[in-house]
Amino acid sequence: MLASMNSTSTIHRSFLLWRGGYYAWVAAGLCVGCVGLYWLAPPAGPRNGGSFAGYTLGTVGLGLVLWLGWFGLRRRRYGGAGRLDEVLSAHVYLGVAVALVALLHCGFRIHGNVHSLALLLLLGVVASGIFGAAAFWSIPARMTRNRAGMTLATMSAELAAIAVRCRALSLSFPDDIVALVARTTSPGGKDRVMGRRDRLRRLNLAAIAQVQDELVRGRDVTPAEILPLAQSLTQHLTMVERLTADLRYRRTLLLWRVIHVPMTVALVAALAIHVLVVFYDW
Amino acid sequence: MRVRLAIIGSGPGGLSAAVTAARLGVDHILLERTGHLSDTIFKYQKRKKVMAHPMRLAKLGDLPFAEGSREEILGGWTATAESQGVNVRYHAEATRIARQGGGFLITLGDGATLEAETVVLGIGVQGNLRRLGIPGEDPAQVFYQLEDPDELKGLRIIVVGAGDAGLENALALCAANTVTIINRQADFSRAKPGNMTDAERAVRGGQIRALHESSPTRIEAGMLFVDTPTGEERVPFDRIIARLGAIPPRRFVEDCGIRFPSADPAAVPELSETYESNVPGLYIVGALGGYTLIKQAINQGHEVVCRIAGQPCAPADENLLRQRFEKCFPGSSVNDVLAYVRRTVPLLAGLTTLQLRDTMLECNLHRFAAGDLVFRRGDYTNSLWNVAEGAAAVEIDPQRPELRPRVEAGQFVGELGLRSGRRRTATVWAAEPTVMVEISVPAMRKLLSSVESVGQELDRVAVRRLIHTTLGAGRQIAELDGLIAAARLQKFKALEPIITEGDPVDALYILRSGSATISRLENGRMSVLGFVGAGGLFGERGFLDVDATRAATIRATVASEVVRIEGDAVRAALAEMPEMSRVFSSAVQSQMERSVRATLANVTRATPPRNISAITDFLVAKGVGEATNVFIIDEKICTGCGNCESACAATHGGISRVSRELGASAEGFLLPLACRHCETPHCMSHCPVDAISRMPSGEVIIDAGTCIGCKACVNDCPYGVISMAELGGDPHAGTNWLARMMAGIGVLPPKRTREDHHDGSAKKAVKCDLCRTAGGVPACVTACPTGAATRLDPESFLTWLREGARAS
Ligand SMILES: Cc1cc2nc3c(=O)[nH]c(=O)nc-3n(C[C@H](O)[C@H](O)[C@H](O)COP(=O)(O)OP(=O)(O)OC[C@H]3O[C@@H](n4cnc5c(N)ncnc54)[C@H](O)[C@@H]3O)c2cc1C
Ligand code: HEM
Ligand code: SF4
Ligand code: SF4
Ligand code: SF4
Repeated sequence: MLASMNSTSTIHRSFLLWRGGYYAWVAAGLCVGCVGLYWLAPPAGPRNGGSFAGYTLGTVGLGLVLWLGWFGLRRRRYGGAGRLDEVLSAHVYLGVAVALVALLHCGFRIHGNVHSLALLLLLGVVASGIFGAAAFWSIPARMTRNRAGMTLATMSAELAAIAVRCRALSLSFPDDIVALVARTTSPGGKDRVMGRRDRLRRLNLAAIAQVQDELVRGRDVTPAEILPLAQSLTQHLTMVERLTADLRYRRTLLLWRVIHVPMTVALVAALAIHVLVVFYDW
Repeated sequence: MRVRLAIIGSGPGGLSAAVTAARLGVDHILLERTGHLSDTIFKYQKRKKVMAHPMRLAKLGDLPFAEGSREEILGGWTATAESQGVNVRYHAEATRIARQGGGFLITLGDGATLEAETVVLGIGVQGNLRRLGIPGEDPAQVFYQLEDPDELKGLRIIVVGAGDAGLENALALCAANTVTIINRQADFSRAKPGNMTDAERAVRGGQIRALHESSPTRIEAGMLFVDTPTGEERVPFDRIIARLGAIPPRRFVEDCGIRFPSADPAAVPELSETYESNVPGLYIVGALGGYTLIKQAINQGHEVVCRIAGQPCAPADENLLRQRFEKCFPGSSVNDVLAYVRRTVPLLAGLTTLQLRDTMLECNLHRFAAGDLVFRRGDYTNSLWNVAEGAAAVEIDPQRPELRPRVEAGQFVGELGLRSGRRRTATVWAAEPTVMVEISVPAMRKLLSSVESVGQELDRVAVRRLIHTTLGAGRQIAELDGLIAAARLQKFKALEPIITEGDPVDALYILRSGSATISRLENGRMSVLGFVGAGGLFGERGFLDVDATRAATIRATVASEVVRIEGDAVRAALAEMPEMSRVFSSAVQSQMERSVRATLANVTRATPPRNISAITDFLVAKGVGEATNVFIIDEKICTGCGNCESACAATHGGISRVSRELGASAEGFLLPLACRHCETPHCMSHCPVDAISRMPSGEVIIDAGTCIGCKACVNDCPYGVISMAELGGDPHAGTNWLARMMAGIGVLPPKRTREDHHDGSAKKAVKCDLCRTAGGVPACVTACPTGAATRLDPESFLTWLREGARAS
């Protein structure tokens, strides 16, 4: 039953390396074929998609775009025999190829009409896709390292616990420090740190500095007395950094899709108009 | 006071006995510890649907029982007890039963005594809850159970005891109350991983205060005094909930003079055909005697009292047995077939009639023509096959058909898989017209814990066969007698070394069950070289070289059993049968090849290799050594999209059987919380209806139709992967695919249903079934867009690691 999974080529292998980048070669072959067609069958008139090569490239491109867009449905079709990482591998390589196909199709010309809008949308989808693929490739390993064995939930619980400790320790210090520590560390939880990283970092650094200042100001304190609070504040800072980095990684992994997917929908709509207009004019 | 019949415990067994006694006019008394009937059922969660398994078993006697809610059943029983004139005494805990004259003297908790001619003991196996037992304890403040956590709000609550029950209570209470938990241990590791993670999180987040390594000493003026590592602490409280587990009733039962066949905690007292114990006049019914279902208990209670009153009563299982035997022995009487089995299957000859009847209820009788297949190499079926008539042929090696040992009448096959839980290592055919008795794994498990001779016989044969198949090299088994005589079975605990590097070479080993890692000290660090699975030979290298010492340490990864053959006998056998050294050298060679390949892979790789030892240690610590199929995510590839969980939910009634969140991770690998389909599944051990089974292809599945929701498996699975859930819901209720896609976030993984304490009348145990119901290919793996998710056996994973894991 698990024969398909016991071959080591499919164990923990990034989708980009699926069968040694098989689909990269498929995509490269497709590109070579399309460039060949572009050069070997030059049209009589200007290059604008209306020639034999133009129609062929257009058809190939349209087919590819529809297939690429189908990925959104395929991704949610669960329980079949095929593996999604193979499909995604094909998606990214053929997705890059489609940009070239489209550019060849229009003869590298851009105007201010619906046809060129379709092209621009397509380039936008491809660009966002490349960004996403790069994120998928590079972020998980960094994210794992940053997490150091914790989960988001344990990190925020840890942060909350450190915050409580900082506030408790600050109580034996002057009021300005109590207030600063309170501002640095309350009200706790991960929602607090979202989007406020720089401010928090500044506050936290200020708090650490001020606690250390206590020594300089000579208010009758020993290093042993300030050390616990200073250390706790440093831990707080580290945890804020980790937590914000983790949230940033997560956001990056998710948010590029906010461009990729709606643009895909717009692209398909624009292409529909593009095709209708072309045939109507014909 | 003196009665004809005293019945102790008013569970279904005791109550049914009392109802029959009342109807037959037998002078009786029913003693119940609590203030209500049937405490075990009383304590089920509210509105629990009570199942009436086994469906085909008829119910005897006058105590009504059919599938229904807890309330309906208890209501019906109370009414019947009243209308039949059952003489119940509540709050009467029997603390001692002693022989006196021709009868018994029963002492109750309050010191009162009572005499009875005959005693029926039906106290179940729940035992007595362990009490706090500290000065100042007030029953209005100290509770041993939590019925409805929602009823408590704004209170200061102390939970004593950090097992699963304690943690679950603390977690359920902490949102609306101030909760302190008192834990004797230094951490929560005694609980299941899910509860442990949740509780640790709640403690870190400040919702629960935990006092570790602490114990309560006394209660005074609304304070609990607690002994902590930093001195005595006083904790003010409104209510204490103590969850300290139960004291099993075995001591009490033994003090009554009743013998258990072995020290195994699963052992049940030996009973006669009429459920009489070794103490004449003392009968045992219900769960205490090993009959874990309500209907069985009711039938026994009825039968016992009929016998005592001299009324005729056919055993309730008579019809079931007749149906079982009908195919193979049409027209024969049940007693004739039982006598036939006793005569032809020596393994079962020493059983009492009752044990034999019970065993046969879970056995199949087969008639084979010559050449029929019995089982196939590679199957995961683990039953034991006894040849009653005829003979079977065992194909050990398909390449060598001349080597086909016969299994004659009176012998059995299949004992290796039974213990190790591994795939069948040979194919077995009927050599001539044959009758076989197939004993199922659950029946075998019961026999092993209650009849010592069965285990001994199994062990004896297993040692012979393991030595023959591993070292035989084409010889007759008789030629190996020297080795067999020098062999014995040895058990090792998880992580215990079997062989230590540098030690003299004094024995050869064959692994019978479990698994082991081979490791060596290199540059001051332990590095793992390999993995031995059940049936594997090890410790052989030393015998190829005269004055060698052990070159590696071999350590059990989980509780394991090995055959140990003394070194002198091995050397003698080698001198006599030089071809045996070929077996040794080929074992050595394959290990060498593997390590050379691994080295080459490391040298030619630019990126540093993963720390294989650390990864192996992590996996071993998480019990992966006993897994057959484990879900592992490479965190360096995983984007955390959750598609694996969504896929599982979408293909399994909306309930994901895998949780990344509750998993454990180390060294860049995440072991999500999901069933690993253990070699010997712990979850199967106490399922009263045998709803959990292992398929021939290896997956361990729970049959939802049979499951009665008793949670025994939830408690037995050491990995906490089973949860209780109501099946049948729409996985995507509330959103449509377009909305989800446009949000760009993908399907949000449905929340894994953890137990909740309030409702749930028809909850079933659910866990990963390796997608058996969804096409047989793990949906979680195929749905992973990045290639980070894999499900495979641990050996393949380690091989893959050694042979060039990509270190990106
Ligand atoms: C959560 C759960 C769900 C289950 N669901 C089902 C199901 O759906 N269907 C099914 O068939 N089975 C089910 N079972 C199993 C079933 O409840 C038990 O097997 C059955 O109750 C056993 O009956 P019994 O008569 O042996 O003992 P019990 O029902 O355990 O009763 C023993 C009685 O003896 C009393 N007692 C104990 N010690 C003393 C003493 N020293 N003196 C006086 N009295 C004493 C106790 O208070 C109790 O009332 C379930 C079990 C559990 C735990
Ligand atoms: C015209 C070209 C393309 C179209 C129409 C297209 C369309 C889509 C769609 C509809 C999705 C599904 C999103 C979701 O379900 O969340 C998707 C996902 C994705 N696309 Fe594209 N895409 C194109 C090109 C590319 C390119 C060039 C790349 C990368 C080089 C790329 C990389 C990805 C990735 C990494 C995902 C995410 C997969 C996941 O999270 O499961 N795409 N694309
Ligand atoms: S449920 Fe638990 S005990 Fe049973 S096979 Fe799965 S992991 Fe093992
Ligand atoms: S194998 Fe199937 S049932 Fe098991 S976790 Fe994966 S999707 Fe769920
Ligand atoms: S589907 Fe793959 S990438 Fe997504 S969370 Fe699961 S393992 Fe990670």
